[in-house]
Amino acid sequence: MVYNALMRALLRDLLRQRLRTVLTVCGVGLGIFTVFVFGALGEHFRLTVVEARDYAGGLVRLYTKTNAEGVNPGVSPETLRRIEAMPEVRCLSPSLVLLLDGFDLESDPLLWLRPQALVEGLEADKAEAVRGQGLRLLAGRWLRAGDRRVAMVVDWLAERRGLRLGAPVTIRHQDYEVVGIYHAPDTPAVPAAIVPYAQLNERFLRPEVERARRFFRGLRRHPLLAPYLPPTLDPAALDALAEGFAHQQASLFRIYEIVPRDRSPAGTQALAEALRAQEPELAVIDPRSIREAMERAVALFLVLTLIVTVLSALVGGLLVVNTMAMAVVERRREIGVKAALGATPAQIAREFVAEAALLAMGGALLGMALGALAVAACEPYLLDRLETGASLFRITPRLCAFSLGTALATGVLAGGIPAYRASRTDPAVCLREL
Amino acid sequence: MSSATELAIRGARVRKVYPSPAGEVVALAGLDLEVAPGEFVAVTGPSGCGKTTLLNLLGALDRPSDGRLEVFGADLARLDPRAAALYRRREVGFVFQQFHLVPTLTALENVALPLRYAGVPARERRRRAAALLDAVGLAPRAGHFPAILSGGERQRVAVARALVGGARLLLADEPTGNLDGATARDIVRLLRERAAERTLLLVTHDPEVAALAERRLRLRDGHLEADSGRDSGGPLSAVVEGTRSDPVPENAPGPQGPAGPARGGDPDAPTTR
Repeated sequence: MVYNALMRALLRDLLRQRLRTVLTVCGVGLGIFTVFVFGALGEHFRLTVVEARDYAGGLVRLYTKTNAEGVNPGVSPETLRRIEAMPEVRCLSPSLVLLLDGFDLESDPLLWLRPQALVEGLEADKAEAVRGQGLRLLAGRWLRAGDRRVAMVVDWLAERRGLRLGAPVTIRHQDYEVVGIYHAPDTPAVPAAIVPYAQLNERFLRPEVERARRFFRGLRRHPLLAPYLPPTLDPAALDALAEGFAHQQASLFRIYEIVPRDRSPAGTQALAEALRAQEPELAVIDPRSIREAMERAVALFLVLTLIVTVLSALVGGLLVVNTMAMAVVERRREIGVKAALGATPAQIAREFVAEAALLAMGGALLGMALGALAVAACEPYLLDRLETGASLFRITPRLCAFSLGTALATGVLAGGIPAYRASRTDPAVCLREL
Repeated sequence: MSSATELAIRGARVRKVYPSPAGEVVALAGLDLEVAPGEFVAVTGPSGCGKTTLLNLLGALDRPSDGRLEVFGADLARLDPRAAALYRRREVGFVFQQFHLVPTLTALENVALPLRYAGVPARERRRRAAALLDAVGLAPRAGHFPAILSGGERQRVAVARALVGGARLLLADEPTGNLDGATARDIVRLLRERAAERTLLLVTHDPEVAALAERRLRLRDGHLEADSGRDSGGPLSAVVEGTRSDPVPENAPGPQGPAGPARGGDPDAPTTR
């Protein structure tokens, strides 16, 4: 009841100059709108880091890396066998990650500039062990041994393409049957579909092998090289050479996901350290380094959000200062009367600060409402264009609290200056100014 | 001479000087004044003689430049802004010529305003404000804003506001200046009735209003020119060096003409010396 009466009085004071109040609220609202929309994008990236931590948790990844001679040797089968034999290793699966719809710059000239939906090939019997911790199965089942032309798809892809269990889905111009639908964190590099590794690898390698074969067979007809090749050279030997070369090239695309026996952070980290010691020529990526790399990438965006917030708060603050300074000038007589009635300087200042805070909070609510509407209106369009992930903006309680807090702090700080002036006003002078 | 503890107001050689680019402006020039608790005193005098300045000093809205001024034992020259506010809250009720109601508050909220600053709980302040509005005959207008009240009604609200905090000293600065004769008398009667136990200093240009007071002080050029003393008892001493303390006949003309200028006359302004 007390707050109702106080709120009514503050609102009436603000409504004395309706146009000015409305314009100030709109100005603050515009600032908070910017903070809110940028913040929603920032929340997306922040949560991406959090979710990436969960997604990558409990796994160690192995890559090839360029050695001191500038050669990228790939990961040999012997190395893989050595790793699988380690007591800390539960299982290992190659992972081939490719563009879901293939590479086609004609249909998407900006393909390099934006995130793309991906498909991952995992050994079918190890898919659950590798991804079971990072992904949540919503319907159907995981891949299992013997699976060939089957796929698991992420929920947002199933929704957009109208896919159900048992329905066909086209991945890289090949039809698969949907056997599972999962929910994935909205993180870059998280696959929109998972298919058996053998199937995807074969599909990916076949053209590479053909290309290599054509090249090697062409050597026999090459005017400079043909005289040096023995006439007895078996074409089948050339084909085998071509296939080996293609496999070697393709191995550079492969990642190896290693599941530790102990999937706790400490256990995973211990396995990573053991691998680094055992295989110094390979790149060993542990969850901690993934998280740190993502945090560094997101930090830039968070700094941008902070700059936008500060600028918006400054602009909104100046509007509030201006409005409240005018209110103090207009109400000098009232200030004198209130002082005569026993209001202390602090009480007078508090009234103006509360009014400024209310003004800013009005702007905050307007800005947040407009921001939420803008996000709701734009996101389906943007997601449809990008076809990646389930959301670009995240409106979270934390973001709402941050926006309101920014507005409140702006109002209190900006209102403080005129309020201080009001509290220092000489009541006798105010009452004489009639 | 009464002892300080028995007096509501005790002023000794009170001076108030305002600096200005044109030279010092002396509003009060060494005023000696004593007022007993419960006394109803009318302060008259021509414009610029220091009436409003005296009220501002007594209400701790301003500080004397020199001299000593005590109200109920409080030395007003030594109050800092916060202490002055607390003093006003506890001891003083103001009634102004221009009513000075807050336009965005209803009659009831205006009356309750001093209680809000005093930290009285909402329910209690509504109860007390409503009771006072009822006492001044404005209960049906409690929810109305000042803009739709008549001048007399506004001043009734202002009187209720001055009384609601239980102030022992009421300072009324030409409270009838903007009212017609009948309403003016009504307001003064109301003040007398409701403030019977309180000390009331009422600045007025209206001789009829001044005549309703127990005692009349006449100021001129910052000096106390005359003091009628108490109608009901012996005159209290209120003497300024070089001025008389004899009772002043009502409507006695001063050096600048009749004591009662037209209603709604210019507000008090200091005299340049």
